[in-house]
Amino acid sequence: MMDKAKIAVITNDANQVFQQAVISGLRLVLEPDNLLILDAVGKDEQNLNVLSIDPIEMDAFIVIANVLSDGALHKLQALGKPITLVSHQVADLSMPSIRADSEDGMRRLVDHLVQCGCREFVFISGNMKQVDGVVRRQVFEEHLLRYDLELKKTHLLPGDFEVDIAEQSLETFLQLNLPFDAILASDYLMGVRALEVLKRHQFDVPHQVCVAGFGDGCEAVSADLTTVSIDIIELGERAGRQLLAQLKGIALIGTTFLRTEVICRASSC
Amino acid sequence: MMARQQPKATRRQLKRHNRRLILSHIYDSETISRAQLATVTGLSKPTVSDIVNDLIDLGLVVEGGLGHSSESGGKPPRLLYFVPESRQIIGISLFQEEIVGVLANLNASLLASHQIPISQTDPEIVIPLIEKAIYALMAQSDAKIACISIGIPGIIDEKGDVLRSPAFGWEKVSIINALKKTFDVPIYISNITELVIRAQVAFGEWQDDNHRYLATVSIGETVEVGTAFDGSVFQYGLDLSHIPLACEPAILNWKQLLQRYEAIKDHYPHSPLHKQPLRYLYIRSALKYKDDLAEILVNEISQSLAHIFAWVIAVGRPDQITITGDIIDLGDILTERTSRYLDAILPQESLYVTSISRAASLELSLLGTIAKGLQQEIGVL
Repeated sequence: MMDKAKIAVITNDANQVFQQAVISGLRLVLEPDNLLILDAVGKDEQNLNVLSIDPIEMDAFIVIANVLSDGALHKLQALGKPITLVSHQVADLSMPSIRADSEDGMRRLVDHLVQCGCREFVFISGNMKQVDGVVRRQVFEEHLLRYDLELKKTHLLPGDFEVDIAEQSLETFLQLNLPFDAILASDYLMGVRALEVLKRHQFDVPHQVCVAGFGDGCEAVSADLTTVSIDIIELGERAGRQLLAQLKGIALIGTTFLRTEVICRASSC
Repeated sequence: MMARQQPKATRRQLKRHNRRLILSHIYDSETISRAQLATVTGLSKPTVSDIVNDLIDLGLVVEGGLGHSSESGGKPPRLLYFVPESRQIIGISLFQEEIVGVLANLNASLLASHQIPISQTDPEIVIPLIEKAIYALMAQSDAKIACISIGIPGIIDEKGDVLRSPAFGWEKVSIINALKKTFDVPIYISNITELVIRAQVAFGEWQDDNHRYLATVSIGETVEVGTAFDGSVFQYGLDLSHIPLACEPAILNWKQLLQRYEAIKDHYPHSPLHKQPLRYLYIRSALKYKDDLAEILVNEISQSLAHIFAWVIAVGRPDQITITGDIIDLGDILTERTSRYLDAILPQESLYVTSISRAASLELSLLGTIAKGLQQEIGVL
């Protein structure tokens, strides 16, 4: 019997909601025929030295989001073993990756809010060091142009995919007393926090302001937030399939995208 | 003159025809019984039964619940259902900057897509990248692959060889032979504009009205025109970018637009278009601020487009002309101005039946690859 392939899943917090769901999907596809070994780098330590595994002893790697720096990914690639990136992409590296189709999802979310009559958007951006953060903001701003709308500089708020930062930015923005009729957050958790802030300031959602966020989870369901949903477990499953193909000797490049779906809830029309 | 005699269908061809006929009725119905199939196809009940049993063995059809008995009583019939998950189709569209592929079920629901950037258009580089896109989608597949369907701009012959693709600079490139060495499934290569119009006919607003005459003008690195009438699609893959037009300057493809921009941009030093690489979306945005350079470019594009439309209308007077390609980012202003120029070129009575619309080419070309696969391999749509 062949030995099980040892697959290292590199995270920076295996208990964080997104990473946990990806790992569940990976387990569905890769276990029990392969051995999944979770290893974490610290939040600010994007290098291989802090890993407890020895990469040389591993057969393949799954790297979630931007937990490793480009340099560390370079070193990992130099080992010549299969690698799949989840929700991440490095332009000059030929590693295959799996991502939600943020472009399509963001466009459809904008379409929905414009159909609700929204014209004056506030955008809470994500972490601009992550591909998803950059792409979502870029596609949002571009798609507004297709409706002859524009995002004003004052209406672009930092969020960094951190709810506390998003809350602080929105509080500061509200003090400016500028007109707006929609808030779109680069992830749903920031969207949920935005709803709480608006409630505190007694805004009438959705009649006065519509709110939506990218991604979906139980927090969005409880808050009745309109979202564009990504099946994160499926993201993990598809990453597992991509890695399996590489383990069979098929050299892959490029990015596989998952479809997204707009989930209309009470926070929009 | 003697009528040309049609060759007789062989038994195998007949069986294939009957199988496709039955499968298309099951595909189009939510549920249907064997007796109903015999009635709608005119085939005998034993023939229907044999074919249905074959389709069940192939996993394309399953038996479900019971239907209603006929008025004369008897056993209620077993209902048949099409199984869209029984096979999957890989569709690939080639663009100058990237290869985009999709994996779809037989009901054309898209399961995953895959993108690979292209830095050079040399066939020795592009063909291996197509293979990699196919492998990446095969890795995501959980059913047998029915076929691979690929769209390329340019002239494609009946064998699927690319005779000429100005967008890629290709002359006589046999992608199909290269891919057949690697993949043991049926492969179809088509012109990309044909696929766009095929998707419009199969899944678009005209799907239930095949008697319409539709034309699609695809604008990208090249300009191609496709037409569909009575459900049949026609496309020859000719690049119309360089046909003489009765207007100066002719701006149709992207290269011509860039050349024109470079030629006149210095006269408009304050144009917002200089802030970032030129895109149709930014031209549209600049129009909002009454930018003179954007005004000139949009007027010249619309005028050139109106001349192409005039040819299309003069030849066939289609019910609708659809513009596809990134150019649609210019929005309503493109259709409004093109229509205005058309009014000046053609007599009004030529125009009254033709409407002009816009559609995204990427989505349509990918859907078109799936439509082509379904039509060729499964015999439905």
